[in-house]
Amino acid sequence: MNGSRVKKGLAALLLLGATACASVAPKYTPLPENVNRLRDAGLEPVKVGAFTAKPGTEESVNQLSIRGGTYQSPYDGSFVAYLREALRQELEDARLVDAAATCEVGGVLVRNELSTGVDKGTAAIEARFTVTRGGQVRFDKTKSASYEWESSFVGAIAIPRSQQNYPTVVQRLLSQLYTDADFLAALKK
Amino acid sequence: MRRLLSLAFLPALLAGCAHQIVITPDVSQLSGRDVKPIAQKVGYYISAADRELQVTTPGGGGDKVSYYPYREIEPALFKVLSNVFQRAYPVASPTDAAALKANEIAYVIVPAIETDSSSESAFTWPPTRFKIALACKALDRDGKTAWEKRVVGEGEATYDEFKSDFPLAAKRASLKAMAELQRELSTAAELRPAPGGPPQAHTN
Repeated sequence: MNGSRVKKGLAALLLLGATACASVAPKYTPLPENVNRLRDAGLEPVKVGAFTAKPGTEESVNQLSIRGGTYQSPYDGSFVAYLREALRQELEDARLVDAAATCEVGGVLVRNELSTGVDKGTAAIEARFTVTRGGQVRFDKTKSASYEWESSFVGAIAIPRSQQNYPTVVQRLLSQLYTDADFLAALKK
Repeated sequence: MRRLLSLAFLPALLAGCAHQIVITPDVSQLSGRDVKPIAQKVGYYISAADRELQVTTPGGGGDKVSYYPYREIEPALFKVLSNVFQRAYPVASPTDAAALKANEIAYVIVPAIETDSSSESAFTWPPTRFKIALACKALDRDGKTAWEKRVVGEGEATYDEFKSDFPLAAKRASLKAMAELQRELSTAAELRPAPGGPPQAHTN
């Protein structure tokens, strides 16, 4: 009985200790399928332009939390910058980035959400992407993605899972973009 | 930040338990800009069992750290291989010659990872030293070893450095190992197509 109480007390301490902490998202890691898809598409070099938040959402898209603790972007604390860096890295890995290119990709982060429930964690993201060449818009579409994973009541399990799973929703969003034939066509001469 | 720091001091509370860390390095630091790509497609093979392999090594204060070395190194391995070769793909088998030929894969890279960690601190659990030894083989389509090399990366992190990134020593070690692997692969003459051989493929 006493042992059981001790265990419960320790579990409560762990739960408290692992909640309401500040944490930083992992730096983005390109998805092999995304990089290979870009390499196989025979695209022209491109410049990665400006990314912004949808007006009025600057705070909501850049400030995520996990169980009451802030979850920060490792790129200047901005998830707008996170999305831009993710795209830049995958284009860079596909050997497509050229700062002098006339073709430019830009974006607007519309929605960025992270939830750490008792049973499942979820992330959802939505962004508008544009491709311009010589001032002319060649692509302008909004893409969205979501991702779910098994969560837990115990913060020591649920919080690290949310921390590690967020980047997957960004990988999925970019997969959506790269599988759009219109996007790939816009990056060809 | 105060609460974040308190977590680093949990060894007394969590004596003997393993703290989960992620050892994936910042892959953006593995640049391929100075690499002369090898005009070959390669695969890399990590078995399902290795992907699920969880390793526990010492941390500080009598605690341990736990991580998935193969799964967490994979993004960096892909990055290195795609920097050095024309294309890199995960493959389901290193010896399925028909599948390798159908996908024009010249070699399959097979990694074997060993890790160790330690800490000088009795009061904080994150390791202050981490070591990764990465033995890689490149198998040709017949399953013969065409190239083999072992690289080692060691990383250190002081309290002031790891207090905002607990696995920092591990990330530094994995980055060094991968940078060394990239150097070794990019200078491996035996993996480059012979001069006068078939025309080299497009290396976009």
